[in-house]
Amino acid sequence: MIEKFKSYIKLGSSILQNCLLLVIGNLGLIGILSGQAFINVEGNWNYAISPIVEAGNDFSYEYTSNPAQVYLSATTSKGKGNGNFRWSFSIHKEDIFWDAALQLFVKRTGNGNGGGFIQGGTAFQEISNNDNFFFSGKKSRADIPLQFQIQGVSVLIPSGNYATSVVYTLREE
Amino acid sequence: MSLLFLLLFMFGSQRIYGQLLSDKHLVNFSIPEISILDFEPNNLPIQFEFKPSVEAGGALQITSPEQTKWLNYTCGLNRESSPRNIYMQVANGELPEGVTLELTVGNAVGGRGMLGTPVGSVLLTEHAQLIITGIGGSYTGNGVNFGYPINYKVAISDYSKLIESSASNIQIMVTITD
Repeated sequence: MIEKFKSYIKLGSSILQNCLLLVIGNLGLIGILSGQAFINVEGNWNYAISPIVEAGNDFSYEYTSNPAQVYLSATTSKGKGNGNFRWSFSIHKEDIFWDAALQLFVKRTGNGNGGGFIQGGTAFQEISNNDNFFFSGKKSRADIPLQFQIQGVSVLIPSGNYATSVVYTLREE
Repeated sequence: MSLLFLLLFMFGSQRIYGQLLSDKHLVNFSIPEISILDFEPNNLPIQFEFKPSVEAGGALQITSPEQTKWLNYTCGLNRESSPRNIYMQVANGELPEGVTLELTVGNAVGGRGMLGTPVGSVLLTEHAQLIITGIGGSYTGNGVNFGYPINYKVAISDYSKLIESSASNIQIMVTITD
């Protein structure tokens, strides 16, 4: 009876050991083979319209940021291999204080730094409050330059400060 | 055991492949409050001339060239601002005794927004006279045939007070305020 009990304990210990090895091994392999993806955003856009100098005119309808106003990066830790790191960005905004007449647009003005490929996002697209596809790529890609544009500006919109958060979501595919 | 290992590995890998990561930044956009106005086509004087009647007993003849000035403005207000009003007054110089200067504001032409309401005709004095009320966020358009047409009319109100003089120059000032 005691021998049987000992064999049960031995068997349980063996299973526990194997499970522990599995977890450790699994995590290690995941780390090695998959790698960890990273997203990084640098910059923001602050813009103040200059006053009108000719009475009777409206503000310009649209205002555009510098071509490289914000930099976006999609990178992965070494491991699985950059080559299998396929990703896409989606984009939306979360309004802090905004007017419905103002439309915010974004486009990618460069490829950034990295190998693989990058595609899409090179024409202005509106950033809405719903998440929409922006562009995609393969392998790590850093410092992708983005340009912004606001349309619908007018003195008919109450003066003041308008603010919104632009949110990028990186999907590893 | 190997099978279990494989299954766990596959499960783990898929979980990492589908990961979503987010980051964000701010966009701040500032629209200034603005009130600006001017006259079109220009600020040049309007000249009125009194000529004697060619017929004995007739009234003095008052002549003036094309005299319509177009008042253009742009008005941008914040959410808490009350509507703006436009006033006009004689700012410099004096009207000759026995003479009145009447100003008539027509309806707005062109533009967009809350353009306000003209009061019609007023007699200009050295005191500010309200000529357009209730202006919100709006713009008239730039140039002649945009905004409010303003016409001036000089009349003799009291012949007994008329005194011969070479010329009287008066300056009209327009103000937009809340």
